[in-house]
Amino acid sequence: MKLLQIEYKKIVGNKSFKVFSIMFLVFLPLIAILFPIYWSVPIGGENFYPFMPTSYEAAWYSVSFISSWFCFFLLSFILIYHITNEYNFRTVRQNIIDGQTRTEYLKAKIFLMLSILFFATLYVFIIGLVGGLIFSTFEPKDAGMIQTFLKTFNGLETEVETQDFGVITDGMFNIVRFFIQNLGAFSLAFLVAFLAKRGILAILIFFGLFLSEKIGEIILKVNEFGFVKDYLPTNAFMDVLPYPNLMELLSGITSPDSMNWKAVVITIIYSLLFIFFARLLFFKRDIT
Amino acid sequence: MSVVLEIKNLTKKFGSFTAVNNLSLTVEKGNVFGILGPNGSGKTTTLGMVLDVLNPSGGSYSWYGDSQVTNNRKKIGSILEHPIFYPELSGYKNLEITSLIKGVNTSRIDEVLTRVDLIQRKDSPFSSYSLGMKQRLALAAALLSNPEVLVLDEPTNGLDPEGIRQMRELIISIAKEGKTIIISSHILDEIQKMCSHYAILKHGKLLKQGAIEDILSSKNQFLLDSNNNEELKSKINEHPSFSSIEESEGKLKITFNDLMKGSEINQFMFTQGIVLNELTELKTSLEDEFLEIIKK
Repeated sequence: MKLLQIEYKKIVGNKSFKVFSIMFLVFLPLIAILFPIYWSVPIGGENFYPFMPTSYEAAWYSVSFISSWFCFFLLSFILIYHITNEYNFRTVRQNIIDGQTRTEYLKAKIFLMLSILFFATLYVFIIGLVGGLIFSTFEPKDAGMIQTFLKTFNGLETEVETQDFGVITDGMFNIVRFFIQNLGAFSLAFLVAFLAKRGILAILIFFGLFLSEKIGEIILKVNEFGFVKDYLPTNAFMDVLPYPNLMELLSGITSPDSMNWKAVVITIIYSLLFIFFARLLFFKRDIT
Repeated sequence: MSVVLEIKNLTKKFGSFTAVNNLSLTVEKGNVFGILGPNGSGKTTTLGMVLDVLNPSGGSYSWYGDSQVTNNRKKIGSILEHPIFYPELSGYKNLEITSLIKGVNTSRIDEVLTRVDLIQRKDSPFSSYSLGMKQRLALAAALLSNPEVLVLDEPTNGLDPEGIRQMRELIISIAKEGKTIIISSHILDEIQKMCSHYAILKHGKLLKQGAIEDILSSKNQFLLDSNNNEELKSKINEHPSFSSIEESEGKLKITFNDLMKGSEINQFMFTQGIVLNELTELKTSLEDEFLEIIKK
């Protein structure tokens, strides 16, 4: 706990931490709750709210999914900038000179990463809970309207049933998916930050990897090696909490798949590997 | 005497360049140990290794002969190169982080800030400090854990004369408390004024080590002047301990093989019928010795 206290003392004075965390705290509820409530399209003289979830299950899923993007962009940046700033200001060197052991230094960073992850998960849980409760107070969407909406959107007749909003625990496990997915993303950010030592470079590598795996996936599919993609790190993270079907998301009837255990196991293995490699790197290199 | 730091065959290579070459040193408790050497002689690299920020390519070191301390130097106060702190945080907040790392109560912070005369500026951000203030904050951080050992790398580097004097007085006052200080510098005068022991490095190799006292008394030189220096020259040649003679600014610099007293020389010259205008015992400065060793 003392190690975590040290990290928080360091980070509170940091501008990028203030900016990114405030953006996370403010924009997440705006996008995840207020946007679905207020954004509508007129269908047949009535307002239709395409992003409004129609069940608790869909609410938990949509909040978790939207939050995961905030996590990739804002919270990963906090972690990357915090670690690379220490190289930039050479304070990592000073910490060690002051007598912190390399193990303690690394542990402190891992604790910080986990604490950001726990805090984010808790916040997403609250947003999901509040969002679900708010969404449930609105009139249930008319099945006929959803059908009309989908037809104007993709020209297909889709079978839609008016759903019951369900109970609040439906789909709550999406929070766990969120946690595991971002454990993977944070561990990758962690390794990349230690590897690159420069903030901008680390962020380029971080997103470069996501992008290159997407491109790699397409090439692999063409060559009938599509199955390999499941084992690539960022693809596995994405599979833990997969993209929703756009149509289903738009109409608010997304019903999430069950837990992808294979992706979960792969993600946890990668997370441990990334942290292990970061440790290896940190001990092997001179701290200049 | 207990051994504080023992370095054995320590080597550091950066690619094909050898920065520290097979260096062995021992620092004992209570020493003010000066590590001397021209720029690039491996002083900072050596200190970097014993402070665990650089990984040695070979050899070993140990603090107090205790692996526990070697891995955990919270009780050792160190300044390596420039003062490094979190620029956005105040001096006080920076020391809060240092005291958490060192496991020291934060009540010490005001005490050390007062000692280095920074208490009035404790809430200003570190980035607004002058170099002298930054250097003093670094010393304050090093003093936080009330350490038995201080490691200081070029502590007066970049300071103005006033700052240098303050820093030197601070270090001397700390040394008087019986603390062990390991200090590196290329300013010889500084080492001579502060240190009890020294080691001279060049190209990462140890050229010489010993006590400052020994250097300063190892030579036996006198500066002599009389009305008739030609006769003085011929007479001094007859002295049984005479070693060499050198003329400087019209006066004679004479070196003896044995330890001599001024009165002996005076007596000798008098019996030879020469009356001296001047008789001064010359203390070798570390600088003379250093330049001589480095030249080899």
